[in-house]
Amino acid sequence: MSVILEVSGLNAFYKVRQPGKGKKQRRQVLYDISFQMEEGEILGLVGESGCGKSTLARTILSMVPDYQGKIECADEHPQMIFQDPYGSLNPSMKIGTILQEPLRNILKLPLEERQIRAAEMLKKVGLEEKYAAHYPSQLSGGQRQRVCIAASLMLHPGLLIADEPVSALDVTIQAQVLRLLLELKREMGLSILFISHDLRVVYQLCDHVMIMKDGRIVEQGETDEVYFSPRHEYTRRLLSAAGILETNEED
Amino acid sequence: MKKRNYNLLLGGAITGIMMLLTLMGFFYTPFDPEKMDAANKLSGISLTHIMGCDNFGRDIFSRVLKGCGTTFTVACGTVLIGTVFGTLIGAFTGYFGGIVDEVLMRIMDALFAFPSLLLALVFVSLFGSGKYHVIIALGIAFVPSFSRIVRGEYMRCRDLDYVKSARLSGASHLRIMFVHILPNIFTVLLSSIMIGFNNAVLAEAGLTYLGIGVKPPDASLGEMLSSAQTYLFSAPWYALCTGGTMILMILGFSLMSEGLKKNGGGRYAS
Amino acid sequence: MLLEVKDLNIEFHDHLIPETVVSDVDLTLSEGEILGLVGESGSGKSMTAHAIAGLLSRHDMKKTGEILFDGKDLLTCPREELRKIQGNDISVIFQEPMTSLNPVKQIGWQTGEALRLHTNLEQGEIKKRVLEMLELVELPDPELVYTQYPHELSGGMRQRVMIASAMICGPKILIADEPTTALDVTIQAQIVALLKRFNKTRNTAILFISHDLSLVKTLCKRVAVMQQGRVVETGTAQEVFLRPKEDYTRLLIEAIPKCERGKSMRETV
Repeated sequence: MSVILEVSGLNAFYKVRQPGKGKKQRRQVLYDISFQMEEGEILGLVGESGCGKSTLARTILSMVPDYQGKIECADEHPQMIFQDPYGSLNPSMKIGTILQEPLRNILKLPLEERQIRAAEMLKKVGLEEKYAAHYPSQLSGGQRQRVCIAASLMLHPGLLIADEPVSALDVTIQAQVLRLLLELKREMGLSILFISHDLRVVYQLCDHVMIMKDGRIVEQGETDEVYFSPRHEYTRRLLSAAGILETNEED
Repeated sequence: MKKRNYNLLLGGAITGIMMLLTLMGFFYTPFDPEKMDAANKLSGISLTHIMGCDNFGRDIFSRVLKGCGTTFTVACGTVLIGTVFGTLIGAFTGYFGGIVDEVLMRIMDALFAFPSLLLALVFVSLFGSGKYHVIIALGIAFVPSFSRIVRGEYMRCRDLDYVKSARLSGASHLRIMFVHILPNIFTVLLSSIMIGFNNAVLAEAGLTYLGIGVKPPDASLGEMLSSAQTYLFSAPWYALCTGGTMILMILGFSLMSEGLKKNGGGRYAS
Repeated sequence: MLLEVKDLNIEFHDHLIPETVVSDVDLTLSEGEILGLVGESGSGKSMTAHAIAGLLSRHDMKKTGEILFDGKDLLTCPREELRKIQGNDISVIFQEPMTSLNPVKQIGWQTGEALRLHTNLEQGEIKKRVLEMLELVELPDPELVYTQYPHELSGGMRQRVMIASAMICGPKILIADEPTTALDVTIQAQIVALLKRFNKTRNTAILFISHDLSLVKTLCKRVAVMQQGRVVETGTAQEVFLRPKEDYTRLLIEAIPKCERGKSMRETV
């Protein structure tokens, strides 16, 4: 197995305007992050709001200009899916057009070829072909998230970053989308960096997890190990707040 | 199922009728709008002259039709210049931000600080009056307000998730700005175009009233209104008919812009 | 019975075709009880709760049925009487602690508002009670928080302030509309513990609305499951979670991700 993503010694900074002071200040949001992702692996990144997990994702996708350290990605066009299925699809574009965008911009394929591939991808994520002619507002939350997944897979990326992809969905829909991600991962040999605050959801999907707090990774390892014999105090606190550690003790 | 949008319906109906009349005025008028007829000087409303005649005995209805055409051309030209340049400036400053934004917006602020009528006045007195100069003058004066609105919308949109995914799908900045974002701010733009149109109609009337706008023999509603002023008591229908036409024109667009705001842009609403 | 909802129907009339969002809902809440109202988005759970709180007073909405509080029908009683009950006997906390506090008013002022409206206490006494309440919801420095503004507080602290202002008049019923959904897990656990304590010490009945079944399971004695505007199942938490009668309830319970060795999706799918 080969490594698809390697991050080592990563520090990232934001410019923030301090209230009351005019000048922008440089604030560090990520401290010395190092990890590795193998091909075909799902890696969970867990943390509470503001801990820097979304910043890490954005840094990997080179959307944060100010960073130090090494990010080595074997994939040329890593893709991302976002939390809010309502905000991440352009409301004035038809689903078909959205799906064809990367094919048009990067692969520069002719229209017919693009349409064929878009229809194939729709089928793959469990949507009928006719949805290509729909606008996002005509779809339900679950369907939209399927479209987002389809759009991110158009280029057959090796690495997919999923930032809270199921947090805005109802539980029953959540399970369907998670299942879809698993199936696609197996079918297409995807590696997924799965970001979530929901420990239960992460457990379903991820082979390895990292626990993040205040810009630092406090614990990482195999999912079962981290969940059932946590070493760090913070991990233990998270697990018991989610009611996972207790049930484990009862069993 | 949407509730009926009466603003849009009524506004559309009024504007539709006004448009038809204006269009008609370009090709056909019941009388020659320039033809003077001493016998009919300031004659009242009759079956032959449905709006009466003016101080030279010209048919007011024919002149109103012609005048609508002129006013409409001026307003359209003004809004076109304002929208195109305003959108370009607003899109670039709002999307990229930073130093370009700072510089361009300070220039806009400086322009904005002058009343648009005053700005147009300066321009016209420098380069001369006439229909096309008025269009350019008012157009430039309208750029800042459009660029401000568009800039705000672009700033709101540039950090949305769908813009990020567009970037990940390899779209260039230009493509993101004009293919991805522009359609989404279209309703906002459209409703400010409507308001801008009204302002342009009024500004044209104002300039002409001051005697530096559209020059005779071109008839325009503003020019007619200013000459009607002298005969306000002896021939009140002159001012009433021209003023009424202008009111209808503005009302139609105002109602439509209000209706568009309420609609929030049909397919975009979830 | 403290609260009795009978045959509640809510229809929207703002479109050409009326849309029913809540139909034939029956609910009961007795003193000191915690009732969980569970359902997915669009199931009408929030609508029902807002109707009980008297927050649905739009004209394009038709409400039929009865909401009896202490024998008084909240749907038909006059405005003034309803206002006496709101904030005093029935109060509400919302999901979004960001928007449910007024951003330009000090925390102390907002927390004391219900006292100012429903009692004739003087300024000093109100301040004393507000400080007591802020202490009770475990805010670190009540004196300081009293003079702060919402944007200076974290999400969890804001939700504590919301609870404090909802509890200040000692209501008989607290309606909690997804109060922990926007919060982190560790904070979530603290807020739930706080609600539990108020329920025990003050005997406040809580109508707890949530889409999170695992949370409802730990907190509520009785549960009502809603789907598409109807209550499809009610019963004690034990009954509903261990022996669900409806297919829909079973579906919801099965959808809760389980954290047991070897039973995760990645191993079973």
